[in-house]
Amino acid sequence: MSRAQLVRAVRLSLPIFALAAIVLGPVFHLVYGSICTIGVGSITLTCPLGFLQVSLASRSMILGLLVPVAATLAFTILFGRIFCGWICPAGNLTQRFGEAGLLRRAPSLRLTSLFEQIPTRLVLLGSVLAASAIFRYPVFCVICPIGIIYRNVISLFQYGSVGLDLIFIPVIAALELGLAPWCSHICPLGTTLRIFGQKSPLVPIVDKAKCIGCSICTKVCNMKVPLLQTSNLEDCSKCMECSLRCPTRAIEWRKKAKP
Amino acid sequence: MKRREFLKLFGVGVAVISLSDILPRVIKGKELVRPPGALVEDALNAVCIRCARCAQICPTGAIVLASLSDGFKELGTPRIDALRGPCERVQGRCEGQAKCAEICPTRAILQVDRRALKMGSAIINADRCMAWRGGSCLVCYEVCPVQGAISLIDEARPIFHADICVGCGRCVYACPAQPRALSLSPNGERRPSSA
Repeated sequence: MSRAQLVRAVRLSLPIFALAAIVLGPVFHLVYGSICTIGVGSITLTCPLGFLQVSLASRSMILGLLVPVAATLAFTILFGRIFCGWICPAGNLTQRFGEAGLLRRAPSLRLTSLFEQIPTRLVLLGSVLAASAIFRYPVFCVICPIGIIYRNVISLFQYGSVGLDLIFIPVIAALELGLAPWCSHICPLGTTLRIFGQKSPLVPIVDKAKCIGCSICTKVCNMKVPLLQTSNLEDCSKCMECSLRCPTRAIEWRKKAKP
Repeated sequence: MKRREFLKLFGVGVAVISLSDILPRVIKGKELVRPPGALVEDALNAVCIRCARCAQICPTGAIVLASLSDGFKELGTPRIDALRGPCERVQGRCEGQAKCAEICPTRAILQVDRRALKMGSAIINADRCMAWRGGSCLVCYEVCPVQGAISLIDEARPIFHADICVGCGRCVYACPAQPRALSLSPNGERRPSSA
């Protein structure tokens, strides 16, 4: 097995491993909760977007979640959107769709250019938070594909049935067809992680001396980052596809040099 | 910023906010029996982070996650399904502490004194009840942990006192009639209004 195959195998199996840990965790009294708020022993991690929504919806400061959220944010500040590339089951799903070519044959109503713009994504995130505060429930949590996948896998394991909310998974896939790529352009959690992780030192660096300008890195990028044309790598999910597929091995992972 | 772009952004915002209002109106919430100590409905739907921890730790499996058929706002919140198991907060494995309240990270479920508990009440459908149809069955009466919640007429037919019943669901879970003669309702529930 080549290094590329190994990295890919680990990346694709981690979300499945995380699902298995969450389903089997309670059996061994080790892991409780889904990714929304997961407790492994005495360590608890909480989704920052979930925290913001329930805080705004309940108009209260949830003291018990402060440390778990701070831990998640510290991790994001260091590693950027690594969650999107390595843990998120929804990202994994939509990217497999993409690889199978299912999403390239998208109809023409695509609004990619609108959602490509950062202000659109910030407005989307802001409206989700505003709606949570106005209507008093976490509006994204209820349809969050990550939450839906985890809740249904837990239900399936605990009492052998799944919920109707699974219908939102194809709805989101349809959104991806009609609007824009979910992970890189729409997902409000991705936008949240992007905001906190934009200064992550873990980014791909192109060695200009070795680069032949073939743009393979841009084509294979899960987050549609045009690596050769931009220094804005906030959306990078650290999937490493660019460095693994680069024909001249011109891409390395190292700390961003200070300007 | 160009006016056109501003309008597009405004459209995205309006779409998200109006959908957040319309969907709960279209997919209305049902009356659900909630775990012991769950906050009042509006506060619970606001503060529950939908992490499923309570459903995972419930020793009887009584806590299930509300599905789309239970309401849009309610999606992913915990509810008691007495057909899966009874709530043992009143008597049984959670007598000391309610495990769901203990593990809830957002305090959407609070520790409530088990003697002050009222999750709802059991309802009997006499047409289905074996005892009321002339058979000899006293299963509900025998499993009930609350004195006075079920009394017997002629020492044979059960009648339910909704004001005394705490809604633990033990009788519903145990009812041997097919289809079941008992169901659980949140009628008369008492829930804390905030943490």
